Amino acid sequence: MNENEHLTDRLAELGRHPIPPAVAAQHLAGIDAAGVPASGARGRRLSAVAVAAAAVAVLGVTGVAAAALGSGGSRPTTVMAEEGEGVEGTQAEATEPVETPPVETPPVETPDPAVEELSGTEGGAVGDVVAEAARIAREVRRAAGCVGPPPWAGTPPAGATEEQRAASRAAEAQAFAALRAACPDDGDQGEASTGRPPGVPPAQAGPPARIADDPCVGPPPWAGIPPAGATEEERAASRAAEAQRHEADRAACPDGDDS
Amino acid sequence: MVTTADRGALAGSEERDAPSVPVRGRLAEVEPLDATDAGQVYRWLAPAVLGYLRSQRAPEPEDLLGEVFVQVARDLPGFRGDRAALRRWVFTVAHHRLIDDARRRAVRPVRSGRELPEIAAPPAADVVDPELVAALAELTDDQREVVVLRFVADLALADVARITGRRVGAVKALQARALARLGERLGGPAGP
Repeated sequence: MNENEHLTDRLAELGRHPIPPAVAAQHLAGIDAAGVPASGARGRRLSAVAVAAAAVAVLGVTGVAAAALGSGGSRPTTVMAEEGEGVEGTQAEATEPVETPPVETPPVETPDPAVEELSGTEGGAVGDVVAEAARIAREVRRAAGCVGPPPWAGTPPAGATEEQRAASRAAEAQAFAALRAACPDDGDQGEASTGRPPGVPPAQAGPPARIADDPCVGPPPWAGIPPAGATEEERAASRAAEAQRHEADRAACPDGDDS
Repeated sequence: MVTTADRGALAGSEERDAPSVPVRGRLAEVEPLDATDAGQVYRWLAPAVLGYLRSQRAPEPEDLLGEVFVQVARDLPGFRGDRAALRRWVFTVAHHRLIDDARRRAVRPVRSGRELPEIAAPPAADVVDPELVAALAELTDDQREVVVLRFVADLALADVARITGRRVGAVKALQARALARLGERLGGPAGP
């Protein structure tokens, strides 16, 4: 037996005094904040994937349900986007660098009334999943180049001469227009906004045409302009004549687009 | 903040190469411990570390204890070793944090607008053995450091020698003198 055992026992007792619970709770909270085990990060990634998969499943179900329950001519935009002509295949042939976005993406980011109602009224877990899916879809679109400035923004065009730079930038613009045309929210239901003639694949349509130059799309040319004439009768007659001309122009359009 | 000395103690010593099987001996514990869980390490070693910090007269031992285990939690994924190595590493961290804290206070002393009291404040109510703590305060810094690491932290002579940067013989001598002085002060049997 050590003759200093009573001393060493007393010293050891100093190291056995329990931590006050409030202090321990504070320290453990700090430890939790500081020490993230490797499995934690992996778990978060897995949970994000699980949320995305669940969101795709939920959106798919709601999209199909909305299609089945759709009344009159208002079809769900998700279905229209999936059935849009020339969305797949033709763009890849025209411009090689363009990557066709994943097939699952259009239903995720196209505003589906049924989904909006679901997320707006039910809230809770399903609403959270839908919101998370929308966020992920936005990130996917951003990564695919569907939103945000073009990749050449802020960078000078390549080329030694002015002509070379102009040609380089024009080629970039054409490739980017094809890329944007392949984006889900630039679907064929929105041709009026892009100026692309109906029935023409997006990659062949090129940059959007000016609405003022094409009578087949866009508002009538007198939109926003007061009719000519001094009296009310004259103004009505002038506007009627303009409408008649516009109607004739529209009748000559390829498929009678009256948008 | 991880000091260079801490990293050296963690990465360059035998902790990295030591087998992960529990050792049998004085430091071995019987209850299971998940060494990757900083919370479990805290529950196992925090009382001893707090006793060490208090015995070393840290001005704010509980705050320092939190800093020690935050650093332990950050660096724990890189730790390899058994229980003894884990205990040694945690007390190495605590030792360095204590030195850092003393240096910080020396450089930036805390100023108080209040006048100093006429008499010393009584020991805190939660101090386990006020008489022993007072006796420890009368030891030299070297003696107190060795005896506290040896018996409060429950480290082996070689571990104390490594942490304090002394030879084992020097640690033994300091321990003997410290115990003798404590024995004289506390009235119990003392000897080398």
